[in-house]
Amino acid sequence: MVETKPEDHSPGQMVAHLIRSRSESGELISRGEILRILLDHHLLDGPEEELPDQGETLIEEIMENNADIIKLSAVGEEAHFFSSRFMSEAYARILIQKQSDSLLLIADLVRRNSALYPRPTPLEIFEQVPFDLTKEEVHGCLSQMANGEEYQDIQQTRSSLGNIFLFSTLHLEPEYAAMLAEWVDVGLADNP
Amino acid sequence: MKMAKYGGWAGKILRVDLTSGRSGTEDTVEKYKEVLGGTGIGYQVLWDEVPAGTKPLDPANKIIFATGPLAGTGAPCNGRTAVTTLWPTCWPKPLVATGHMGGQFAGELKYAGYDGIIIEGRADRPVWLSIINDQVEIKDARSLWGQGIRRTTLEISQQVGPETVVAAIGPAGENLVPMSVVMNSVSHSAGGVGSVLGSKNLKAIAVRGTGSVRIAGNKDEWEKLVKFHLSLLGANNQHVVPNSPQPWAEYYNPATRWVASKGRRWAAANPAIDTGSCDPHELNRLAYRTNNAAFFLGELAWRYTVRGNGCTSCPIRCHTMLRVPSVAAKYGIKEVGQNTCSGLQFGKAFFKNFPDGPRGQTQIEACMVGMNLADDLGIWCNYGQMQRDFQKLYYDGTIKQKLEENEFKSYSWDKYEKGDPSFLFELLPRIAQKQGELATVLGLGTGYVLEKWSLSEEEWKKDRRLMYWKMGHPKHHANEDAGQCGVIINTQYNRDAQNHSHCNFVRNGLPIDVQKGLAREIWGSRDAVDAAGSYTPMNPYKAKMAKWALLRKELHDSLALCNWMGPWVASPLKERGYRGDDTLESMLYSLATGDKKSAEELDLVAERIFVLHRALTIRDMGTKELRTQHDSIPEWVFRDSNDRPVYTKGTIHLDKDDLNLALDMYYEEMDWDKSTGAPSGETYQRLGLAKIADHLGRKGLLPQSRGEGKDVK
Repeated sequence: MVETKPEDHSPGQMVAHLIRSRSESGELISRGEILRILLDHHLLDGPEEELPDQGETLIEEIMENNADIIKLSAVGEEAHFFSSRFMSEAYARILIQKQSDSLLLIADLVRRNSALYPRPTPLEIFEQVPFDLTKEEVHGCLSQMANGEEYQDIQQTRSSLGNIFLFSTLHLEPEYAAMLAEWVDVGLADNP
Repeated sequence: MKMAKYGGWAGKILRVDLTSGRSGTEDTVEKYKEVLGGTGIGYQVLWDEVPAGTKPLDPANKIIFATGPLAGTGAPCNGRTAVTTLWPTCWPKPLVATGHMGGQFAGELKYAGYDGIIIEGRADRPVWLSIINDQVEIKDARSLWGQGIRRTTLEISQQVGPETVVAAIGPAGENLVPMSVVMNSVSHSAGGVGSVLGSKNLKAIAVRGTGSVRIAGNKDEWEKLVKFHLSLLGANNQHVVPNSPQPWAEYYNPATRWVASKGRRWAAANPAIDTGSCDPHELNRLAYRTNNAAFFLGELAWRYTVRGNGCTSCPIRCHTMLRVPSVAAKYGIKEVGQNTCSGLQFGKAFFKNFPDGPRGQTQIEACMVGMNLADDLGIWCNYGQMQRDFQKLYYDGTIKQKLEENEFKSYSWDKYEKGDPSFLFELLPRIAQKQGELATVLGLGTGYVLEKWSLSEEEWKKDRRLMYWKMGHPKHHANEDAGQCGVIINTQYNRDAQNHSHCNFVRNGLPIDVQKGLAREIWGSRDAVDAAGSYTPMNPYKAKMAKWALLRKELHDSLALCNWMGPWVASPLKERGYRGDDTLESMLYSLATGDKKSAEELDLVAERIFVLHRALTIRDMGTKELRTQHDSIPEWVFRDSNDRPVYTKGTIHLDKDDLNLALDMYYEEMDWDKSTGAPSGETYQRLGLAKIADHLGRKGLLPQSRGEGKDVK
């Protein structure tokens, strides 16, 4: 639980509290939103034209003084913040990629899972929290990937229940991916 | 009043002779401290009191319900009772084995003042045993005989009081059907032992205790230790990674039973409950992590989930309670049912197909019908082997061939083939009542089915889909879990191995690199574990892991901790590098009892218990040649459906020579003779079992010399 009351603290502490609170709820907060909140609540002092810079400075100070506050940004996108006390970097990356590039989101996750555990990734997971893509969006991504040179390592396998799993050939051989997909989808229930 | 020297133990074992109607007590610590409790007491009693050659249903056989020093304390996951006896489905010759039930029986028995009950003899009429603290009475059960487990439980509870815990058999046990259970607290059963109780005319044991379990150590330290233990818990089977991305989680793995997530709701609760993201530090949300109905039956099960149910002092609640309104009107059964794993899937597992697919409504209804019938009639599934056998025997035409035409036609096979759950009303009551050839044969257990119908065990041993291992029983977490380690474990028992130490580790959901890091700390090398389906040749560290897994199982079964949850060597805590604590059992034991033992010292006790099981097996088989005559591996382990070479990624089959080496390394790790697979006299001596060595020596059942490995049978 985020334990401090924001009204009792300085603007810096209040923003840190806000970031933590959002992280606990599974959300990032953008630099722009932080600045807007600071301005709306008159938490910055000085000439109006200097307020945005003051806000930037305050955010830098917050990061210096709170080791758990982490900045993350997708290429060409606005910076977002999260607290590592309440959110993992892996989860934050999903949220940031979700905002910018669904193809990369899917491909990165599939590659990471294929390399790390190793295991294929069930397609249905992209329709669930925190991805929240629609079925059409997911299948649209798969179609685009099939035609994109940089995604040729992302392949599909299907369990005997008919469910689709994605894997990266950079890390998993097709037969191995097929076996692991069948194990997760069917084998675990048959071998309780 | 003089305080007992040790805490933990209640201090007394209750002995009930049903032949004479007499009961008495013995001092637990004085007689059984060196084997702790649970299976340890069970094996010891069988060794001391039940001679070789006794049959399971003879009055001379005994059945031992034993808990352990941690049952009824505040230690997490302590609700286990081991039920040890000569095993009716062990084929071709009954040998020692144990069933394990959770629920509330173990704690209540401790509160009544007992660590265990030894049941012997045979009553001359149906009876039930009433235990209310030190008041022990054998009561007339003629009005209960023929009743299901639910009504029996209800009627006895009405007589004794609502807090009473009743362990009862159903008609299957009464009718001496070997595939039968004893069950307490609605759904918590020990499989395989119902007919032994039936043969003794013992319908039920009702326990009510108003005492407590004394903790010998400092109470603050105890509280701190319990909190520490809770902090290391994952979800069911100690899966420490959630199965979908959670804000707090560095990892997620769809293979785990940690299924809670924001938006996943126990929708049949009133009001519905959102399971939430379940940060591992929020110990008050531990019970939301697991929903085994959703894990086994799919997303639809969330709609019907009321809550989790479970055992004394266990926050995991692995028995998911479902409310499925449609089954009341369709099948005339209760709309509420609960169970876990194989028990949950009891009805579903008979069918090959369902009209709406494998994850639809009908499979859930089949589960509800199956639970309703099996958990009342008291039928055992033998880890799903009854259902796999049934499918095989029907679809290969054996059933039609073996039955008289009239009997065959008495079943609605069209319903069966269509996946209509109402078919179970035709089959399961007949199994419990031994009505007809098919039902009677199915109730015998696989080995005796094969014998009765002159079928080849070799055929069962070749077919991986049947999961059959040996001696009438299936594999239970074999080469699919931890490769050679799983295979070794499955060679060791006289029923399915029921060992979860190894699979709880390899299925915990962590990335393979993290698992390997933990493996290095626990078993001395990263090479002790392989990634699922990416196996490497045998090495000594895998043998160490196998020994560890076996000893921890016996330790848990004797302390009364749950081996479906432990050991706790991995945790969900990133700040601990996902480490658990391999000394947890010894810390709990030492503080609870006051008998300070290190993890190594307690492992030695576990080894004593396990070797006692080995000695009983040798004595009752009448041979020391266990390597060739007992520790066998079915042919399907060596086969791959696509003829891929061993150690190819994506296959879990293993090499015969490599498994010979695995047994060599394992026997060496156990300090057993490699040629026979039998413990040596020195091993028995080292474990304080010199008298057993003397006995076996006199019978010619000690290995003469250490030899080289023989071929795997």
